[in-house]
Amino acid sequence: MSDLEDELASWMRAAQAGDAAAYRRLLATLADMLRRWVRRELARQGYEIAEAEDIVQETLLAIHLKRASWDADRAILPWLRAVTRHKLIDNLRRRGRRIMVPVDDVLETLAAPEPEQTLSADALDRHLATLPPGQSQVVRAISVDGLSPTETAQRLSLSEGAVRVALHRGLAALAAAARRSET
Amino acid sequence: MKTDDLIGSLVADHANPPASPRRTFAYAAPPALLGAILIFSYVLDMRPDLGDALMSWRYLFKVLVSASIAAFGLMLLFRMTKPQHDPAADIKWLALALAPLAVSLALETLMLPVDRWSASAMGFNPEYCVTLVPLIGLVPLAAALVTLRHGAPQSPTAAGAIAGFAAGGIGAFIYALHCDNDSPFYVAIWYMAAVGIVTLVGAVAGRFYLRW
Repeated sequence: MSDLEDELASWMRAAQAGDAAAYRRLLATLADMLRRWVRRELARQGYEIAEAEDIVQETLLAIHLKRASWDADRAILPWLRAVTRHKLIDNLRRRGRRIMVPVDDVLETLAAPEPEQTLSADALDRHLATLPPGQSQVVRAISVDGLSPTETAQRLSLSEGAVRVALHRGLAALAAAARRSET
Repeated sequence: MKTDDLIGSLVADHANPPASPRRTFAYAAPPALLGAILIFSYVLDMRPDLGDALMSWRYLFKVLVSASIAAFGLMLLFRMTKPQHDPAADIKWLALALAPLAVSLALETLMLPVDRWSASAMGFNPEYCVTLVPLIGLVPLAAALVTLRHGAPQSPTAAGAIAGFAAGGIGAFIYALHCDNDSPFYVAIWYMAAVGIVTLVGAVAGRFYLRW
Protein backbone atom coordinates (compact mmCIF):
# COMPACT_ATOMS: atom_id res chain seq x y z
CA MET A 1 0.00 0.00 0.00
CA SER A 2 1.25 3.44 -0.87
CA ASP A 3 1.57 6.31 1.60
CA LEU A 4 -1.16 8.14 -0.25
CA GLU A 5 -3.52 5.20 0.11
CA ASP A 6 -2.85 4.98 3.85
CA GLU A 7 -3.22 8.71 4.33
CA LEU A 8 -6.49 9.06 2.42
CA ALA A 9 -7.97 5.93 4.00
CA SER A 10 -7.06 7.08 7.51
CA TRP A 11 -8.63 10.51 6.89
CA MET A 12 -11.81 8.92 5.59
CA ARG A 13 -11.98 6.58 8.57
CA ALA A 14 -11.45 9.49 10.94
CA ALA A 15 -14.14 11.45 9.07
CA GLN A 16 -16.57 8.58 9.41
CA ALA A 17 -15.85 8.54 13.12
CA GLY A 18 -16.90 12.19 13.25
CA ASP A 19 -13.62 14.09 12.69
CA ALA A 20 -14.60 17.15 10.62
CA ALA A 21 -11.03 18.43 10.28
CA ALA A 22 -9.89 15.12 8.78
CA TYR A 23 -12.80 15.24 6.35
CA ARG A 24 -11.89 18.76 5.26
CA ARG A 25 -8.28 17.70 4.73
CA LEU A 26 -9.40 14.70 2.73
CA LEU A 27 -11.72 16.69 0.45
CA ALA A 28 -9.19 19.47 -0.08
CA THR A 29 -6.51 16.97 -1.05
CA LEU A 30 -8.92 15.15 -3.34
CA ALA A 31 -9.95 18.43 -4.98
CA ASP A 32 -6.34 19.07 -5.98
CA MET A 33 -5.84 15.54 -7.21
CA LEU A 34 -9.09 15.51 -9.16
CA ARG A 35 -8.37 18.87 -10.73
CA ARG A 36 -5.05 17.74 -12.12
CA TRP A 37 -6.49 14.53 -13.40
CA VAL A 38 -9.67 15.96 -14.93
CA ARG A 39 -7.74 18.74 -16.66
CA ARG A 40 -5.26 16.33 -18.07
CA GLU A 41 -7.99 13.98 -19.30
CA LEU A 42 -9.92 16.81 -20.92
CA ALA A 43 -6.79 18.18 -22.59
CA ARG A 44 -5.70 14.75 -23.75
CA GLN A 45 -9.05 14.22 -25.44
CA GLY A 46 -9.01 17.64 -27.01
CA TYR A 47 -11.65 19.33 -24.87
CA GLU A 48 -11.63 22.72 -23.20
CA ILE A 49 -10.30 22.52 -19.69
CA ALA A 50 -12.58 25.42 -18.73
CA GLU A 51 -15.22 22.94 -17.57
CA ALA A 52 -12.79 21.02 -15.39
CA GLU A 53 -13.78 22.73 -12.16
CA ASP A 54 -17.47 21.90 -12.69
CA ILE A 55 -16.53 18.25 -13.04
CA VAL A 56 -14.27 18.42 -9.99
CA GLN A 57 -17.12 19.85 -7.92
CA GLU A 58 -19.61 17.28 -9.13
CA THR A 59 -17.16 14.50 -8.37
CA LEU A 60 -16.57 15.80 -4.84
CA LEU A 61 -20.31 15.86 -4.36
CA ALA A 62 -20.57 12.24 -5.55
CA ILE A 63 -17.72 11.16 -3.27
CA HIS A 64 -19.53 12.80 -0.39
CA LEU A 65 -22.97 11.37 -1.12
CA LYS A 66 -21.70 7.88 -1.94
CA ARG A 67 -19.06 7.55 0.77
CA ALA A 68 -21.01 4.78 2.50
CA SER A 69 -20.31 2.54 -0.50
CA TRP A 70 -16.62 2.49 0.45
CA ASP A 71 -15.92 -0.54 2.59
CA ALA A 72 -13.52 0.67 5.31
CA ASP A 73 -11.68 -2.67 5.23
CA ARG A 74 -10.75 -2.21 1.58
CA ALA A 75 -8.35 0.12 -0.21
CA ILE A 76 -9.79 3.56 -0.86
CA LEU A 77 -7.90 4.51 -4.04
CA PRO A 78 -9.66 1.96 -6.28
CA TRP A 79 -12.97 3.22 -4.91
CA LEU A 80 -12.03 6.87 -5.53
CA ARG A 81 -10.80 6.03 -8.98
CA ALA A 82 -14.08 4.28 -9.82
CA VAL A 83 -16.24 7.15 -8.55
CA THR A 84 -14.10 9.68 -10.43
CA ARG A 85 -14.23 7.72 -13.64
CA HIS A 86 -17.99 7.29 -13.34
CA LYS A 87 -18.53 11.02 -12.92
CA LEU A 88 -16.18 12.00 -15.74
CA ILE A 89 -17.87 9.61 -18.14
CA ASP A 90 -21.28 10.79 -16.98
CA ASN A 91 -20.27 14.40 -17.49
CA LEU A 92 -18.78 13.99 -20.93
CA ARG A 93 -21.71 11.84 -22.06
CA ARG A 94 -24.17 14.50 -20.93
CA ARG A 95 -22.22 17.05 -22.86
CA GLY A 96 -22.63 14.82 -25.87
CA ARG A 97 -19.02 13.81 -26.23
CA ARG A 98 -17.39 10.55 -27.08
CA ILE A 99 -15.04 9.42 -24.41
CA MET A 100 -12.64 6.71 -23.50
CA VAL A 101 -11.30 6.96 -20.01
CA PRO A 102 -8.42 4.64 -19.23
CA VAL A 103 -8.96 3.07 -15.83
CA ASP A 104 -5.46 2.21 -14.75
CA ASP A 105 -4.14 5.58 -15.68
CA VAL A 106 -5.99 7.35 -12.93
CA LEU A 107 -3.98 6.19 -9.97
CA GLU A 108 -0.57 7.67 -10.80
CA THR A 109 -1.99 11.02 -11.76
CA LEU A 110 -4.11 11.07 -8.66
CA ALA A 111 -0.99 10.38 -6.68
CA ALA A 112 0.65 13.74 -7.25
CA PRO A 113 -1.36 16.41 -5.47
CA GLU A 114 -0.36 19.98 -5.99
CA PRO A 115 -1.92 22.80 -4.01
CA GLU A 116 -3.90 25.24 -6.10
CA GLN A 117 -5.41 28.60 -5.45
CA THR A 118 -9.11 28.69 -4.69
CA LEU A 119 -11.04 27.97 -7.85
CA SER A 120 -14.59 28.63 -8.82
CA ALA A 121 -17.14 27.14 -11.20
CA ASP A 122 -20.67 28.22 -11.98
CA ALA A 123 -22.64 25.08 -12.90
CA LEU A 124 -23.56 24.30 -9.29
CA ASP A 125 -24.79 27.87 -8.77
CA ARG A 126 -27.15 27.44 -11.70
CA HIS A 127 -28.40 24.13 -10.29
CA LEU A 128 -28.76 25.68 -6.86
CA ALA A 129 -31.29 28.10 -8.31
CA THR A 130 -33.52 25.18 -9.37
CA LEU A 131 -33.78 23.74 -5.83
CA PRO A 132 -36.72 24.32 -3.49
CA PRO A 133 -36.12 27.70 -1.82
CA GLY A 134 -35.68 26.24 1.68
CA GLN A 135 -32.90 23.93 0.51
CA SER A 136 -31.11 26.43 -1.71
CA GLN A 137 -31.13 29.07 1.06
CA VAL A 138 -29.52 26.67 3.50
CA VAL A 139 -26.95 25.32 1.03
CA ARG A 140 -26.07 28.86 -0.06
CA ALA A 141 -25.73 30.12 3.51
CA ILE A 142 -23.38 27.29 4.45
CA SER A 143 -21.34 27.06 1.26
CA VAL A 144 -21.18 30.55 -0.25
CA ASP A 145 -21.59 32.58 2.93
CA GLY A 146 -19.56 30.13 4.99
CA LEU A 147 -21.92 30.03 7.97
CA SER A 148 -22.06 27.11 10.37
CA PRO A 149 -25.30 25.12 10.64
CA THR A 150 -25.94 26.85 13.97
CA GLU A 151 -25.50 30.34 12.50
CA THR A 152 -27.65 29.37 9.53
CA ALA A 153 -30.38 28.20 11.87
CA GLN A 154 -30.33 31.57 13.64
CA ARG A 155 -30.33 33.60 10.44
CA LEU A 156 -33.20 31.66 8.86
CA SER A 157 -35.11 31.15 12.15
CA LEU A 158 -35.04 27.39 11.82
CA SER A 159 -34.08 24.64 14.20
CA GLU A 160 -30.58 23.29 13.76
CA GLY A 161 -32.02 19.87 12.95
CA ALA A 162 -34.10 21.38 10.15
CA VAL A 163 -30.99 23.07 8.76
CA ARG A 164 -29.08 19.79 8.76
CA VAL A 165 -31.90 17.99 6.99
CA ALA A 166 -32.27 20.77 4.42
CA LEU A 167 -28.51 20.78 3.84
CA HIS A 168 -28.40 17.05 3.27
CA ARG A 169 -31.42 17.04 0.97
CA GLY A 170 -30.15 20.13 -0.79
CA LEU A 171 -26.78 18.53 -1.57
CA ALA A 172 -28.48 15.38 -2.86
CA ALA A 173 -30.85 17.51 -4.95
CA LEU A 174 -27.90 19.49 -6.27
CA ALA A 175 -26.24 16.30 -7.47
CA ALA A 176 -29.51 15.17 -9.07
CA ALA A 177 -29.98 18.53 -10.82
CA ALA A 178 -26.42 18.31 -12.16
CA ARG A 179 -27.12 14.83 -13.53
CA ARG A 180 -30.20 16.03 -15.37
CA SER A 181 -28.53 19.06 -16.89
CA GLU A 182 -26.84 19.16 -20.27
CA THR A 183 -23.84 21.21 -19.28
CA MET B 1 -19.44 28.53 -6.32
CA LYS B 2 -15.90 28.16 -5.10
CA THR B 3 -14.69 24.63 -4.67
CA ASP B 4 -13.57 25.47 -1.14
CA ASP B 5 -17.07 26.68 -0.33
CA LEU B 6 -18.55 23.47 -1.64
CA ILE B 7 -16.12 21.52 0.52
CA GLY B 8 -17.26 23.60 3.49
CA SER B 9 -20.85 22.52 2.94
CA LEU B 10 -19.86 18.88 2.50
CA VAL B 11 -17.93 19.01 5.77
CA ALA B 12 -20.95 20.60 7.48
CA ASP B 13 -23.03 17.65 6.27
CA HIS B 14 -20.58 14.98 7.39
CA ALA B 15 -22.12 14.44 10.83
CA ASN B 16 -25.01 12.41 9.41
CA PRO B 17 -23.29 9.73 7.37
CA PRO B 18 -25.59 7.78 5.04
CA ALA B 19 -26.25 4.14 5.88
CA SER B 20 -24.04 1.61 4.13
CA PRO B 21 -25.66 -0.83 1.68
CA ARG B 22 -25.28 -3.66 4.19
CA ARG B 23 -26.95 -1.74 6.94
CA THR B 24 -29.73 -0.61 4.61
CA PHE B 25 -30.28 -4.22 3.63
CA ALA B 26 -30.40 -5.32 7.27
CA TYR B 27 -33.26 -2.88 7.83
CA ALA B 28 -35.08 -3.39 4.54
CA ALA B 29 -34.88 -7.17 4.13
CA PRO B 30 -36.99 -8.41 7.08
CA PRO B 31 -40.04 -6.22 6.33
CA ALA B 32 -39.70 -6.97 2.62
CA LEU B 33 -39.70 -10.71 3.27
CA LEU B 34 -42.66 -10.34 5.57
CA GLY B 35 -44.49 -8.30 2.93
CA ALA B 36 -43.83 -10.97 0.32
CA ILE B 37 -45.12 -13.71 2.64
CA LEU B 38 -48.21 -11.66 3.50
CA ILE B 39 -49.04 -11.14 -0.16
CA PHE B 40 -48.55 -14.85 -0.71
CA SER B 41 -50.80 -15.85 2.16
CA TYR B 42 -53.45 -13.36 1.15
CA VAL B 43 -53.62 -14.54 -2.46
CA LEU B 44 -52.64 -18.21 -2.26
CA ASP B 45 -52.65 -21.32 -0.08
CA MET B 46 -49.90 -23.79 0.49
CA ARG B 47 -50.32 -26.92 -1.57
CA PRO B 48 -52.09 -29.55 0.57
CA ASP B 49 -49.60 -32.30 -0.30
CA LEU B 50 -46.51 -30.29 0.68
CA GLY B 51 -45.27 -33.11 2.91
CA ASP B 52 -45.34 -35.61 0.04
CA ALA B 53 -43.88 -33.05 -2.35
CA LEU B 54 -40.84 -32.71 -0.12
CA MET B 55 -40.08 -36.34 -0.92
CA SER B 56 -40.12 -35.75 -4.68
CA TRP B 57 -36.89 -34.84 -6.46
CA ARG B 58 -38.77 -32.68 -8.91
CA TYR B 59 -40.21 -30.52 -6.18
CA LEU B 60 -36.91 -30.30 -4.33
CA PHE B 61 -35.16 -29.21 -7.51
CA LYS B 62 -37.79 -26.53 -8.03
CA VAL B 63 -37.06 -25.18 -4.57
CA LEU B 64 -33.33 -25.46 -5.16
CA VAL B 65 -33.55 -23.63 -8.52
CA SER B 66 -35.41 -20.73 -6.86
CA ALA B 67 -33.13 -20.66 -3.82
CA SER B 68 -30.05 -20.66 -6.02
CA ILE B 69 -31.32 -17.69 -8.04
CA ALA B 70 -32.20 -15.81 -4.85
CA ALA B 71 -28.89 -16.58 -3.11
CA PHE B 72 -26.60 -15.81 -6.05
CA GLY B 73 -28.72 -12.78 -6.87
CA LEU B 74 -28.24 -11.40 -3.36
CA MET B 75 -24.52 -12.08 -3.44
CA LEU B 76 -24.20 -10.23 -6.76
CA LEU B 77 -26.37 -7.44 -5.39
CA PHE B 78 -23.73 -6.63 -2.78
CA ARG B 79 -20.92 -6.75 -5.33
CA MET B 80 -22.89 -4.30 -7.46
CA THR B 81 -22.97 -1.71 -4.68
CA LYS B 82 -19.26 -0.98 -5.25
CA PRO B 83 -18.39 1.46 -8.04
CA GLN B 84 -15.18 -0.43 -8.85
CA HIS B 85 -17.09 -3.62 -9.54
CA ASP B 86 -17.46 -4.40 -13.24
CA PRO B 87 -20.82 -6.15 -13.86
CA ALA B 88 -19.39 -7.99 -16.87
CA ALA B 89 -17.35 -10.07 -14.41
CA ASP B 90 -20.57 -11.57 -13.03
CA ILE B 91 -21.68 -13.59 -16.06
CA LYS B 92 -20.02 -16.73 -14.71
CA TRP B 93 -21.86 -16.36 -11.40
CA LEU B 94 -25.16 -16.04 -13.25
CA ALA B 95 -24.35 -19.24 -15.09
CA LEU B 96 -23.62 -20.93 -11.77
CA ALA B 97 -26.90 -19.63 -10.33
CA LEU B 98 -28.72 -21.47 -13.13
CA ALA B 99 -26.70 -24.69 -12.79
CA PRO B 100 -29.40 -26.46 -10.68
CA LEU B 101 -31.92 -25.71 -13.43
CA ALA B 102 -29.62 -27.24 -16.05
CA VAL B 103 -29.09 -30.36 -13.93
CA SER B 104 -32.80 -30.83 -13.31
CA LEU B 105 -33.56 -30.38 -17.01
CA ALA B 106 -31.01 -33.03 -17.90
CA LEU B 107 -32.53 -35.44 -15.35
CA GLU B 108 -36.05 -34.79 -16.61
CA THR B 109 -35.14 -35.54 -20.22
CA LEU B 110 -33.83 -38.91 -19.02
CA MET B 111 -36.67 -39.75 -16.64
CA LEU B 112 -39.80 -38.57 -18.42
CA PRO B 113 -41.24 -40.38 -21.50
CA VAL B 114 -41.21 -38.06 -24.49
CA ASP B 115 -44.98 -38.24 -24.97
CA ARG B 116 -45.49 -36.52 -21.61
CA TRP B 117 -43.04 -33.70 -22.20
CA SER B 118 -45.43 -31.17 -23.57
CA ALA B 119 -48.13 -31.78 -20.93
CA SER B 120 -45.50 -31.41 -18.17
CA ALA B 121 -44.11 -28.25 -19.69
CA MET B 122 -47.54 -26.61 -19.90
CA GLY B 123 -48.71 -27.76 -16.46
CA PHE B 124 -51.89 -26.24 -15.04
CA ASN B 125 -52.55 -22.52 -14.93
CA PRO B 126 -49.09 -21.25 -15.91
CA GLU B 127 -50.57 -17.73 -16.08
CA TYR B 128 -50.76 -17.76 -12.27
CA CYS B 129 -47.08 -18.49 -12.02
CA VAL B 130 -46.12 -15.75 -14.45
CA THR B 131 -48.21 -13.12 -12.67
CA LEU B 132 -47.95 -14.14 -9.02
CA VAL B 133 -44.20 -14.74 -8.82
CA PRO B 134 -43.56 -11.12 -9.91
CA LEU B 135 -46.29 -9.90 -7.54
CA ILE B 136 -44.67 -11.67 -4.58
CA GLY B 137 -41.26 -10.45 -5.72
CA LEU B 138 -42.31 -6.82 -5.88
CA VAL B 139 -41.63 -5.91 -2.24
CA PRO B 140 -38.25 -7.73 -2.19
CA LEU B 141 -37.41 -5.86 -5.41
CA ALA B 142 -38.07 -2.54 -3.69
CA ALA B 143 -35.80 -3.54 -0.79
CA ALA B 144 -33.06 -4.62 -3.20
CA LEU B 145 -33.27 -1.33 -5.12
CA VAL B 146 -33.11 0.71 -1.92
CA THR B 147 -30.01 -1.27 -0.89
CA LEU B 148 -28.35 -0.50 -4.23
CA ARG B 149 -29.30 3.15 -3.97
CA HIS B 150 -27.11 3.32 -0.87
CA GLY B 151 -24.29 1.93 -2.94
CA ALA B 152 -22.70 3.33 -6.10
CA PRO B 153 -23.25 0.80 -8.90
CA GLN B 154 -21.11 1.33 -11.97
CA SER B 155 -24.04 0.38 -14.20
CA PRO B 156 -27.44 1.35 -12.75
CA THR B 157 -29.27 -0.77 -15.34
CA ALA B 158 -27.23 -3.92 -14.68
CA ALA B 159 -27.51 -3.40 -10.94
CA GLY B 160 -31.30 -3.00 -11.21
CA ALA B 161 -31.48 -6.17 -13.29
CA ILE B 162 -29.60 -8.10 -10.60
CA ALA B 163 -31.97 -6.71 -7.98
CA GLY B 164 -34.85 -8.03 -10.09
CA PHE B 165 -33.16 -11.40 -10.58
CA ALA B 166 -32.71 -11.84 -6.82
CA ALA B 167 -36.24 -10.64 -6.08
CA GLY B 168 -37.64 -12.97 -8.77
CA GLY B 169 -35.79 -15.87 -7.11
CA ILE B 170 -37.33 -14.97 -3.75
CA GLY B 171 -40.78 -14.67 -5.33
CA ALA B 172 -40.35 -18.06 -7.01
CA PHE B 173 -39.12 -19.66 -3.79
CA ILE B 174 -42.22 -18.52 -1.91
CA TYR B 175 -44.60 -19.28 -4.77
CA ALA B 176 -43.23 -22.84 -4.91
CA LEU B 177 -44.97 -23.48 -1.56
CA HIS B 178 -48.25 -23.25 -3.45
CA CYS B 179 -47.51 -24.43 -6.95
CA ASP B 180 -47.91 -28.12 -7.82
CA ASN B 181 -46.39 -28.03 -11.28
CA ASP B 182 -43.07 -29.61 -10.47
CA SER B 183 -41.62 -30.68 -13.79
CA PRO B 184 -38.25 -29.01 -14.52
CA PHE B 185 -39.67 -28.33 -17.99
CA TYR B 186 -42.40 -26.25 -16.41
CA VAL B 187 -39.90 -24.50 -14.11
CA ALA B 188 -37.57 -23.72 -17.00
CA ILE B 189 -40.33 -22.07 -18.99
CA TRP B 190 -42.77 -20.46 -16.59
CA TYR B 191 -40.71 -19.81 -13.48
CA MET B 192 -37.91 -18.45 -15.59
CA ALA B 193 -40.33 -16.27 -17.54
CA ALA B 194 -41.52 -14.88 -14.21
CA VAL B 195 -37.96 -14.27 -12.99
CA GLY B 196 -37.23 -12.66 -16.34
CA ILE B 197 -40.14 -10.24 -15.90
CA VAL B 198 -38.90 -9.14 -12.48
CA THR B 199 -35.37 -8.81 -13.86
CA LEU B 200 -36.65 -6.58 -16.64
CA VAL B 201 -38.67 -4.44 -14.24
CA GLY B 202 -35.58 -4.13 -12.03
CA ALA B 203 -33.40 -3.09 -14.98
CA VAL B 204 -35.81 -0.36 -16.05
CA ALA B 205 -36.28 0.87 -12.48
CA GLY B 206 -32.52 0.82 -11.88
CA ARG B 207 -31.82 2.81 -15.01
CA PHE B 208 -33.69 5.76 -13.51
CA TYR B 209 -33.68 5.24 -9.76
CA LEU B 210 -30.06 4.15 -9.36
CA ARG B 211 -28.33 6.86 -11.38
CA TRP B 212 -25.78 8.84 -9.44
